[in-house]
Amino acid sequence: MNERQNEPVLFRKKDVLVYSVLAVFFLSLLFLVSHINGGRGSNVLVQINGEACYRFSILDSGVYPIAYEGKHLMDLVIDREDVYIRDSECPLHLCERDHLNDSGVLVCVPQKVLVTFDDEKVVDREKEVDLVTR
Amino acid sequence: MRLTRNSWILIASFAVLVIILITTAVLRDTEEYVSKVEIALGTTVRVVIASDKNPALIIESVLREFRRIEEKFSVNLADSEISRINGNNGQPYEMDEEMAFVIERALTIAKATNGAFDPALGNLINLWGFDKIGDVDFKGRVPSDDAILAAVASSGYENVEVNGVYITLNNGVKLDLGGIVKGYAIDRGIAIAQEMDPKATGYIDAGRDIGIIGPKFSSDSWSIGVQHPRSDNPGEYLDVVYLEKGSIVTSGDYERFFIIDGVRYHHIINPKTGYPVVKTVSATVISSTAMDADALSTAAFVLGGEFASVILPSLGGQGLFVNDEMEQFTTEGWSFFTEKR
Repeated sequence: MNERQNEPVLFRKKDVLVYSVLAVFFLSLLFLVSHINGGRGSNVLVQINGEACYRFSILDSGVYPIAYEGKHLMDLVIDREDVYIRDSECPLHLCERDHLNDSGVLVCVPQKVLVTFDDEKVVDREKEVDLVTR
Repeated sequence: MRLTRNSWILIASFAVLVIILITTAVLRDTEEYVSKVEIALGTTVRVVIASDKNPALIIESVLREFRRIEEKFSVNLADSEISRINGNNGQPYEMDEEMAFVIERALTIAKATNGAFDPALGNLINLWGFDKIGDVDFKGRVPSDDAILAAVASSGYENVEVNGVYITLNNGVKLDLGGIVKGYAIDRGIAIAQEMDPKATGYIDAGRDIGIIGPKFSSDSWSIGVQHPRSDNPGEYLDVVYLEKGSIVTSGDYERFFIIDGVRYHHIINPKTGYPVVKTVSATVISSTAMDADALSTAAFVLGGEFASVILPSLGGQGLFVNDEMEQFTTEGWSFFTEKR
């Protein structure tokens, strides 16, 4: 018998196909796992005077009037996952400056309104900046 | 297709490696942080904590402390202790230990900064209306020059007399501890969290004034961006600092202000002139306590960055300051905090 035929073969051409499929599978799994725990929440919670009053899905774009005890307080805008306040009845409209994705919370102090993500991952090891002072 | 023995060995090794990587990725964030946000002291208070000992209870205890401190120190509550002190008509008032501690610390910083931070500006702040800026019917107003002069004359820490537990306010001055109480509340919150669980980690963010409860995931620094005072891009920072402990507070002219006839009037008053400070737009201070960082950031804002960058270290603070021409100044030790550890 040819000695060459008896030598153990490390890599055949067909093995490369197997390895490639396995590599793609495991890398996809790794990618999926590393992103399962990540990111911003999918629901927006509106609290008024300490009470949970509204909950919206971030996927439902629209302009939502926020009212309390029959009085209009502001509009909450969800626009392709961007969330912000508009037309607030407060004196200085400071609450209209922020976007929820950037600040993590929208607040109107005079009207006691708090807007947060309901199910956000609070601390993410991958974030370059954990929090902001201003 | 038939794989050779070596191929199987390679596949098995590769699979084991991937399993190790996946397990590491899943398990590395084992500390689960919980968070709650409330409105207190006229701002949002976010408590973020990881603890093996009932984090929800710790968070609730911290927030309860914020509510208690607001009830005691708010000038907008008629039955708060600070309102009773202010309404005592120049007569000696007996303080409890806590009030004495906060007021004495405020006076110490006032003296050290030659009044740049001043806890006795109640008349001025009330004249401008900044004590009511969180009210639903707030109306910004610019007082007359005469009214401002009169309010300046009845302001100033030099009129506050403390003898043991007795405080006397002379010359009609009124206290407003808004420039130090938020920091004090953060320190109290941290103390409560650490008392309930010495191994707790996380932070307290009260209106973007930050106090660290414990390092991130028990070993890492928290990375904290210092917001650019004039950028519309919320992700644009003057700098990023890394803290495992201590506190960082920023005073800026862009958070609490009103605009009349195109002029911005913000809430940080120059005690000498009675008008909002114009030469500084942002002052950020790192200190071991939030109380000191809070008061020193106000002092630095009034003093101006060039001067503050020299004297602040002697008062226990390191800082980054921006003037109205957008020039930046830092204390000598600031760069220590910008290195990731």
